[in-house]
Amino acid sequence: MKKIIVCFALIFAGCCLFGKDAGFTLKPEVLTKVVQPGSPLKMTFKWTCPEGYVPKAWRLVAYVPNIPSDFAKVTGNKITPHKMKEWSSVFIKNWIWKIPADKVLEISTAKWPEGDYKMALYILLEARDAQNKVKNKMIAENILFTIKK
Amino acid sequence: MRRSMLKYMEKMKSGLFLLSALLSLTAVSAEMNFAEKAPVINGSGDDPVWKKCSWNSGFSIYKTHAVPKAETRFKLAYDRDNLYFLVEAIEPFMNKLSVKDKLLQRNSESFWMNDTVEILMVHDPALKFYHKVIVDSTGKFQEVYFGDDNTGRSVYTPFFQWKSYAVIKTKRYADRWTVECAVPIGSLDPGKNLKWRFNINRNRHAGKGMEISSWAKVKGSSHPAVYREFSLPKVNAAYFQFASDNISGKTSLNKAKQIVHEVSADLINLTGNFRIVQVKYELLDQMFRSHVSNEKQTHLQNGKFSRVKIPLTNIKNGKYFLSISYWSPAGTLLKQTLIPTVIHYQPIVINLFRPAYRNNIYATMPDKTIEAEIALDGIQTEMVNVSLKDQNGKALFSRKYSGKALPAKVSFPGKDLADGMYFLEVAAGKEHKRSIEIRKLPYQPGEVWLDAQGVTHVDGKRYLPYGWFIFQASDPKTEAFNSQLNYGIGARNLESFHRNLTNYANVGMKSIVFPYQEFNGKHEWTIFAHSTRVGSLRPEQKAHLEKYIPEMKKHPSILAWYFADEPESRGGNNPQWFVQTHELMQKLDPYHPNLMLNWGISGMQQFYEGCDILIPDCYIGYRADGTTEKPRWAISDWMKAAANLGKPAWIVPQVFLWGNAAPTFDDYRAEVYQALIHNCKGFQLYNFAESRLHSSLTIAPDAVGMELKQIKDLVLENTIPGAVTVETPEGAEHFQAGLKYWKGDYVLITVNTSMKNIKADFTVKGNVPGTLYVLGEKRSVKLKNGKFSDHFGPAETHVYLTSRKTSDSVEDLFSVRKRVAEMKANRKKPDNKVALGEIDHFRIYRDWEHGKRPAHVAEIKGSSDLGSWFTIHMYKMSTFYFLFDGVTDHSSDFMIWGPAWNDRKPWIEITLPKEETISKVVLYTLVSKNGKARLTDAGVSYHNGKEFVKLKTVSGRKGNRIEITFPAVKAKKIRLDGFKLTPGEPRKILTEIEVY
Repeated sequence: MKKIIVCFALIFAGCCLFGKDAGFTLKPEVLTKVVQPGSPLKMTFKWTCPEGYVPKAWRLVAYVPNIPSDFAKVTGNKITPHKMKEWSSVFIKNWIWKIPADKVLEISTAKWPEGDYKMALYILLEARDAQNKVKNKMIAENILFTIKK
Repeated sequence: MRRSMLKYMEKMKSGLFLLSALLSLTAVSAEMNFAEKAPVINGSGDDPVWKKCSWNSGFSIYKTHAVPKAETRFKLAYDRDNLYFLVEAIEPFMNKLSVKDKLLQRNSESFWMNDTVEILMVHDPALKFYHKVIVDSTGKFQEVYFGDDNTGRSVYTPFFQWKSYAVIKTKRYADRWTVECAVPIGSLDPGKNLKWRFNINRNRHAGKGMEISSWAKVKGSSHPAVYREFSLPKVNAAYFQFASDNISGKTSLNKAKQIVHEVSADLINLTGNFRIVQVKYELLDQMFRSHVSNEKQTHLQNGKFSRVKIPLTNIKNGKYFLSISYWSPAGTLLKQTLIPTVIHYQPIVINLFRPAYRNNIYATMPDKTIEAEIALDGIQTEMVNVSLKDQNGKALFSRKYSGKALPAKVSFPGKDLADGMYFLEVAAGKEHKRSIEIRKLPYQPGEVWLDAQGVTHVDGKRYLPYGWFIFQASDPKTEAFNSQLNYGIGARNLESFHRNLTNYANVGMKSIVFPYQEFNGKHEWTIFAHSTRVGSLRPEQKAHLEKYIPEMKKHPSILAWYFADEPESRGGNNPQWFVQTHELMQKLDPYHPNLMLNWGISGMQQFYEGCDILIPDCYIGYRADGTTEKPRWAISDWMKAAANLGKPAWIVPQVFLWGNAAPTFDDYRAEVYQALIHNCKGFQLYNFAESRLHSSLTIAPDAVGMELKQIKDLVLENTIPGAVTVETPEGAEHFQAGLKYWKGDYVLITVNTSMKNIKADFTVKGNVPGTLYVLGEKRSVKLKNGKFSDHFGPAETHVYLTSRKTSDSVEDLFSVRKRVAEMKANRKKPDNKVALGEIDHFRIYRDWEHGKRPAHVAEIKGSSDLGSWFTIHMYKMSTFYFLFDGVTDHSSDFMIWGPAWNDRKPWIEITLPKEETISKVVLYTLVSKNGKARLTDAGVSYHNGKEFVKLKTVSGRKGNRIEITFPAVKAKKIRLDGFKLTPGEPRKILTEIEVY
């Protein structure tokens, strides 16, 4: 019973932080869909959220089947394994606690192999309630891009 | 560049041309340069990549290899997406260039009659197909796909159903013209293994007389085996590995009253990587002009599929090519397919469910209900009247539906209707009316019809055709076989035509024959000559069919009409000729379906409208090392292509040598079951005569046929879509599996199409029992929550059944394999001094006859050889060496020796590799069903260095084995003579000779 309660609490907590919520949407856009190898990947994003929330941090995650098969080998990035192979992931960029004023996020693609990519862009939104207590909301959407000479 | 060209011309004039050509020939090392930057295609050839490349020259005239009067040279380059060609054609008579611009269609076979340059591109290591772009001096070009015509002669059939997406520009100068061209690699259907070859041909008409030259030393325009090989190391074949499947389209009217054709197709990613793909669907007219297109982006992981549905809006009814093309985000063409498509919008939709075949109600159909779904598309009306009317317009049954209630199913009883013509008529208000014709037919003995699944019914019973090509009524027929397909057109009259069918019927075989019988005793067509099938069905052909088909169809053993044999390779056979003939034949003979045989998917796509059933051949081409010419799963691809065209399909499995090794028992079994997984409804094996050369093919077709007899009803059913999923290791991704159900029983058919030992994990949906029994393997597997695993040997097939009794009712597979091995081993008896045993590459007998014989092989010759079509025309050799092959009682007719008709004193002479002590000769003949042996007397002599000395003569022998023993002698040369043939029996008398 205890285990069930713990699981329930985790799921509930997760939903608060990262649930699909009608009030929150994210629309990322890759600025150059075909990127030259080694050139920076630039993307921007639009979002909607209840009043008071502002973007605070971002990160980029990829599931292994959604990136070139030799990505980890070529770049040396670590794969976070999952017992279901298709859920194994690579943290491309962990939380960066700075959102540029123009909302253009940039990441180096040095050493990234040529190929097609799908990655999840996560944006952490933050607000303060009436008691000045911090509230967080994480939203995510996929981006698609290609690296090719 | 221009200056260098002028210098070049001067060289020609000063007589140094020959030397120059020779130098260029010795220096021919056409490097395939990698273009770091793609050239701008404008005909100029002034891009950096071209400056880096050297010219390739040294063209020669076809066949004679003489030096042409006007030289041609070219450069080649490539990048990872495209092939680049720059061709320069020197032309002293630029004002006389042949340009029949307005006359030439995209698919005109006369395109080469313009002054043209041909760019030939080959990448298939087996040379089964290649592509050609022909460009004239105005920049007009033609795209041709060539497929090997499946006759083993390296002859190629052109198909004009290929769109290259090439960018081509030409430029004309005072003394030459140039072609610059970029061809996307993705348009060439690149496989996983690429072996590149290129060539350039030039068709010159501007000078005096025609001058046809080529860079490679060719015999004709289509000779890919001699094209120069190139290495393109930076082309990644895996990048292009996509498949397109389950293509369907639905035509309707949208709210704006525009015709919409919604296309759906599965895109399958086999590239090994995650991919983003721009999917483009387009309708092209017969000249490849785009009428409408639409696109959508999709993305998919490796090994996954994505079903992409895209509407094409605002189109007109008509015939089109549906172009399906896939593009990378960077604009690289990844794959393209063209499919002939008919758009036919109808405001009133009548989907006739019953009767399901040819709109005919047959006397032996258990269900004679007329059932249809009625719908309106793009129109609205308050009331719809549906009625069944007779020929006089009298309504026999009527139903009224509110327009809002549609679509609705309507059914009328057909059981008590008199035989005759009826019309299912739908009237939507006063404006719209549509009717379809339904025939109720009187009974004809042996009548054949298909049900909604395409299952053949004969006299109302479900029937699985399993028969032979090239089977004589006198050949040994076994229980497994029920039909034969006959090429015969030599009947003198209707009576002999029917008598021949009766001969087969007497041994339990139904017949598939050409409807084009001319009844003149000749074995070639006049009225129906292939050259007459290039346009419409001719009046004399129509009249001939109208005269004879009503009589020919009466024979109760006709199973189907053999409509065409690979018409795509018969010199311009027109698909529309077959469409018209098919329409006529349906009226003249509603009782037998029309079969269309094509050797490939392109052929099926061209000719499918002219038949009821597609029966492609798909010869895998097995090699001794286990590799194959076509992928082993090509059978599945062929069947799926037929299904995509909306036709029931049978197949012609490979039961002869094609490649360099005969199919094994497991190869053959895999072909049959793979076809069944994809809803094959019949088999005609090619061919009985040649199958007898191989132990595996003497046994396997019969063994598998006996399996099919036990599970006929199960395998006739369509595979349940999505009922089974399979996980296989890498390298076995083309594993095939399908689940079928019939009256409480299931069959799960599984085929390993790889040559690896693998473990496959199955998940089966539905109420499948927990234990499945493996057909012919005396074992079972247990399912847990619908899952189980099993092991597969290379190319191995497992057939799982719910009935243990049925699974044990056939010969054990190990026993079959053992029989094959034993038969093969027994064909070479240890002490027989002339035994050859089984030789797959038996065509080598021809070389042996011409003296190119290994030292261990005895020489055999004779006074004459009756021969047969196979030995005389196909193999171009005599029958003699078949007498050493170890086949005694199951020889095919062409493997049996007989003396020529005018040979009154026949003899056979054998020269042993070395002098041997011999004391026995055994001759094998055949005994007819009447008990008479074909040969009764024979004698043996040996050569003593001066003359032949008789050793023994035997006479009055009655069996098939004539043993002649004599006191041992040392001999190198022996002679057989004194043959006495039994009057009234076939003249082919000897199947085997053994010397001890």
